[in-house]
Amino acid sequence: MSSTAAAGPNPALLTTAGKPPRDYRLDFFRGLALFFIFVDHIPNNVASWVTVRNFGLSDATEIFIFISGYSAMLAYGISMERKGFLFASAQVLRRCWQIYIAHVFLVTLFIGHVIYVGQRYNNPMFADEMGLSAFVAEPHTALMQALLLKFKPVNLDVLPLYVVLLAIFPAILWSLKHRPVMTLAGSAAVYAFANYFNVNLPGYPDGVWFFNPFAWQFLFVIGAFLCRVRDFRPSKRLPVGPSAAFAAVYLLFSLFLVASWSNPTLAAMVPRGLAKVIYPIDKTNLDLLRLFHFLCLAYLVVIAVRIDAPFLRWPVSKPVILCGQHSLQIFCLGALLSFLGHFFLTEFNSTWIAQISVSATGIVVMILFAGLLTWYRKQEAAARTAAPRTSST
Amino acid sequence: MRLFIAIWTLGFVGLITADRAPASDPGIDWCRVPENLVRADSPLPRVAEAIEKNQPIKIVVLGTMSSTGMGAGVTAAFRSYPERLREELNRRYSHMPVTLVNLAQRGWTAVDMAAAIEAKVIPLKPTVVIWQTGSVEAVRGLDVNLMGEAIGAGIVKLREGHSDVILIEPQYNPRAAAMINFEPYAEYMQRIADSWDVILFNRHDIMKYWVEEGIAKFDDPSRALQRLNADQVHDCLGQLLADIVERAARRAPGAAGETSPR
Repeated sequence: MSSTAAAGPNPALLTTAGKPPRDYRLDFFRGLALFFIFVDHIPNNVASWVTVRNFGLSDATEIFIFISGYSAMLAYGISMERKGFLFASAQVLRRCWQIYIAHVFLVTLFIGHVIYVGQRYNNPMFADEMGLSAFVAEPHTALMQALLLKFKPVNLDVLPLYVVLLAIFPAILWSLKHRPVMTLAGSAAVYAFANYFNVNLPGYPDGVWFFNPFAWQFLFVIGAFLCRVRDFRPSKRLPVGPSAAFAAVYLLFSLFLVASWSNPTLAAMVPRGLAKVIYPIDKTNLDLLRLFHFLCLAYLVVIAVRIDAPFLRWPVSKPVILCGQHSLQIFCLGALLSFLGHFFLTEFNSTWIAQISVSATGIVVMILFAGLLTWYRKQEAAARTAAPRTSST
Repeated sequence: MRLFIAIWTLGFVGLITADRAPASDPGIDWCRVPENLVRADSPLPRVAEAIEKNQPIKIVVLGTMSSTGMGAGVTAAFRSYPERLREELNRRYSHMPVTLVNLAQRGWTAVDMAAAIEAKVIPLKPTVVIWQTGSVEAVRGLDVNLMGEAIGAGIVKLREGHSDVILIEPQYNPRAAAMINFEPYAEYMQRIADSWDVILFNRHDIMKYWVEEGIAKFDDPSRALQRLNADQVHDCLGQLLADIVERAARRAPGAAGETSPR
């Protein structure tokens, strides 16, 4: 475990001269979101009852996309200032390509799995469900569609969204630097347009993207925008008392709604008229109620958790922060692990003890891998700084 | 650290080799599910009216492969859940005829079915329409919003045609769940049912319950056993549906209006 112990919020690693301290809240909450996404992506997992989606309208995906937008602006914004727009764009696109490759790898694995299940468990009772095997019966077509990001099997929808968001990020970066408010307004307009006219990218075999990029880009841009204007302290501009009270009331209302979905007694208390107005609360197009729920949650977290909050330095927070710092690698690993975890649960043992063990094991593996990445990055950096010295002597 | 890994490994070996759920006892009621899975929250005014006035009940089924007769994987068409529902209602309300017209088709989406209502369903003048959908949408990854709009429009048309509606979710199968994300579609259907004050039969959750309790098994390699298992599942589904119909009909005795008892 030495690799994990060495990393984390270590002041010596933090700052080079003049740079503000790293905001570990970003890493922490993103790490937490990654754990939640992993746990939620294992179907029928009792461990998923503790994740955010059961306590409000938005879920870990919103946290992940928002923080990704914020930290993309943070990292590539600095890069753009130091090395120019062209270099920053090249960096963004390199990252975009890496995620694309990871996605293709996961889809390939998935296609293999579908073919296996289709051959091994062919039950006429599930003719509808096994229709999927027919679509991947021609693996070359399925693979081609996966390369085009059209074929996105179950739970592999976030990565393609991320690929698209990063692919357009150079434009957002440039635009946010020069016209931040206009950029946000433009993004909101695209969101509204996509929602009103139900515009989405096509999927394969048909249908649309589960996460509509035209809608979800708004949350990503909100994150990037708030990072861009962070020196103006946007959260301090609202009157804290009324805003916090309003946000809290909305969160409680959401909690009540979500609880009513699994509790008939509460469900009976939701007036029909209200249900008709607010339902269905759509994830594909990032329903306004979901978006608003996330923003309220984020606002309360930002005013409650200061940048120097002591719990961020607690030993238990370290592993979470580590995972948040390598979010893309850990996200891809999490997708792979949730797939393997579910395979274990369906093939061997699906008791709740197994569900909790699989979830815990997955999280430990994610943490160990994050520790390994941190260790590797440090060694690499050390080698790089050592290299000129050895050559000069 | 080593000890930790050893314990962990042992734990997993234990999980793999541990006994699976015990085989079900023939003495227990296989069909039984928790109360919250067979709720009858909304009334069925047309069915209630028919029962009160001793008029015949006509069931029309809209659905996909799992609602057709033989296509549903059972040993004979009369063992499929729509037929079992008809028989069960016939038994319970023996003083009036219960008839069934099954329009389910392989590959039908909610949009296809909604489009067929005007021409194919309304002329049959059904008392209640059993509308199973969402399966094809989930498999093909179709837009949930389009599905929702189609179901909403279909409910309006059926109500105008003086029919009650019961929606049915997709099936559950742990291996299919690994490949297809049914939850958003099933959840969306629940929201639609809530907002239109229509009963949703939680087939997905019910089948999941049976699998988790070890009552239903879908991975027998033998085709004959698969069909026998399907018979069992469909028999229970038909009975539970009949329970819901009976309860919902009792809920609004003679109330043919749109008023909800809530």
